[in-house]
Amino acid sequence: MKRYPNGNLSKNLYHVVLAVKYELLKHMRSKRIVINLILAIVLPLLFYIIPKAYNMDFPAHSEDFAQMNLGFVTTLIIICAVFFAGDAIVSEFEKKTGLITFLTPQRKTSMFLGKYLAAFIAVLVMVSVYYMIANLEIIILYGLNSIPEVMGLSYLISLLYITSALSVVYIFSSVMKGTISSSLLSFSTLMMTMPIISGLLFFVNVEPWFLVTYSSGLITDVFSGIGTTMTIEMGGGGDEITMYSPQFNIGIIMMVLYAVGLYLVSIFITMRREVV
Amino acid sequence: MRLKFTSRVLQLITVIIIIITFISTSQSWAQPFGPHYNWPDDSSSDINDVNSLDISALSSVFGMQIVQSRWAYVAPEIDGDSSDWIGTKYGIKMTSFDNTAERTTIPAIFGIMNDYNYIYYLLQFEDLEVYSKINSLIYSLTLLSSEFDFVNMDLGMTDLTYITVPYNSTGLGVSDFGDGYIDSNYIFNYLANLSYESSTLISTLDITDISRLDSDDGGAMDTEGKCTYENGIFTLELKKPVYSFSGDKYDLDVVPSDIIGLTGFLSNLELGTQGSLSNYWYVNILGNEGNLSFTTPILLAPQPSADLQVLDIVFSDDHPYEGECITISAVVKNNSTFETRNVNITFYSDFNEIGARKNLTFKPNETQKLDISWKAVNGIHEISVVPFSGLSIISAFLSGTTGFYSEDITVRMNVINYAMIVVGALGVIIGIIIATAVVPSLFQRRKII
Repeated sequence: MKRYPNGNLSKNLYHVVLAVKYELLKHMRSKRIVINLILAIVLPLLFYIIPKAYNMDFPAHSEDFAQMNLGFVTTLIIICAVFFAGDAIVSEFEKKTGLITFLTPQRKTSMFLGKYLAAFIAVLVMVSVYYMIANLEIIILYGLNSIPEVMGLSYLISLLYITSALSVVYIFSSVMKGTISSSLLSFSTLMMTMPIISGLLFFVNVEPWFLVTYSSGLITDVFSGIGTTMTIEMGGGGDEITMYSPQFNIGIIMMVLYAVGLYLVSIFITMRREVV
Repeated sequence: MRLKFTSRVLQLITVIIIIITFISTSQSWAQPFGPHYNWPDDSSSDINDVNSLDISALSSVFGMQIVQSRWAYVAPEIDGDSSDWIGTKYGIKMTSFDNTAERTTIPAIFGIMNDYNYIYYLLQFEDLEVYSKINSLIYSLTLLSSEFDFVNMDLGMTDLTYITVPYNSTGLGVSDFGDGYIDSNYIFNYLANLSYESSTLISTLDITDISRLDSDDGGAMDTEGKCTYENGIFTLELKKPVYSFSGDKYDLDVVPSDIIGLTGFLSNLELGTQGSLSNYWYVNILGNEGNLSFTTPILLAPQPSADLQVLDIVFSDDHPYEGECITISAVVKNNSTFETRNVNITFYSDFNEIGARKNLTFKPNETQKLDISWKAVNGIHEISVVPFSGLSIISAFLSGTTGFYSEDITVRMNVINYAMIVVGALGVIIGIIIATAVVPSLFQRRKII
């Protein structure tokens, strides 16, 4: 029998590490990592290749290019989050594997944390690759010294958004009965529902500060200015639309709340859920 | 197996969405930031119906009046309505929107608004480019007759696409108007500059009459004034006070409140008695060639701010840190030879007003440096200074109006502070999430065996 020097604490941590390891192994075997890696490489490259191919002008400043290019990093995060965490919890119930895994000495919380961390690591790798390529393009186009000084900050914010997106996916994974419905609902919520609500609220001049997808705008806003709102007259006659931009502190707080809150709720629901 | 199927469905959806998203955003490359509109570039079908407004055969098109009574051009990117138009005049792009048709967006020389009709006075044809699809056109050379010259045309005026129908000046002359101002008593001081161009060389011209032709009165009426001709420019000066604008001295849609309120672009302001459009001021100029007699309306179109130009914007610090207070200075010149009063200079950061200097007076050809204080906000900002009253930066931007000036400023972020906040937030998340797994174990009693 394996002995743990610090008792239950180290045992739990060991279980977490085990869960991370095997979850990552699962991702590797299912080729999810490969698929997403291709996306993470191709997406930023398109911003370089297509303008080159069509002889289009690149933005004058590297900040503008970075903002344009990294505008798709949120899309990548959502895709990866759904890929890597969409079935994390629900599959245990759908496939009844929970009947075996839940009976092992490993705590459910350790198992789900391991899955969460594994998903985080996987998405982190993809996002890192995306940023690396984007930076490489900036170096090629604008020179080595042109990498915006806020690039690192953007990267950190994107890490924060990964945790929020994973938690959103986790909540659907904990309440839904099927993997497909869980994944699709997560995807549509992050990709369509929340952005649509944001857009509609813009029209009534309400800032959607409570939507995490809106907060994710910070990832690219750091390049052009955070929290700048813009009021645009829609054809005169007093009709105006305000283009809000997330405030830094509020955006960060919302991401933390989404990440922590939804994760805790999803664990709470899962702990009370019956496999059969 | 089912998982594989799910993965593939998700992959497929993902790829489709990425492609759609990419295509929908790809057009922003050329001008990736800032408001821009994708002008329709597939209007070749419209071009098929385009007829030029053929005025070249007319002996005198001077002051020809067109009432546009129908709007059909669609520029949905602006406001989704079907009646936006953009035209150019004197190299100035102008934009109007149907349901507002604010006078502020229409340079004075371009006419007045009458409900949803616009009356154009084609005064300088060589500079006017109209992209039009004309269904029918009835015109009359008699500008001052009570007949309106109606043209039923679908205007598709834009500076970017389609067909250019230049209106070359083949008539006897063109006119331009000088600047004036309205003082607090509405006494209008005005100097009209009449530029004369001709395909034939004119050696001398005699100004025979400056008169006001009032069809209601049935004849001309002399008025005080003088006219000089120098270097090809007629200068007509109507001495003050000529007329006091107080309600019934002019007609059309211009009311005193409008005149007071609008200092930027003012619709045609016409001397004359209340009634029809037939009351105008005329300048009768007879040339020695004998056939150069023509009559031109003097459309008093004061544009007291129109000749103001922002020459430069200077920052006290080109790369300030956010939160710092910097001074933004605008160098503004009055290109006019007239004093311009009640000038408002508005400063914008991107499209948000950040300050203004109001009720300024510019002497003729005077240049002033105007400062405001601004607390720098992080990011790259386009600082614009607009020297017109009643014209927002959006309108100025859309209409391409000249005179305003923009300069970028990069405000640096205190990256370390922001990064520390984000790192702290990540720490909170990781800490809490890990705690959910490990905390219960801390309270679990260790087993002896």
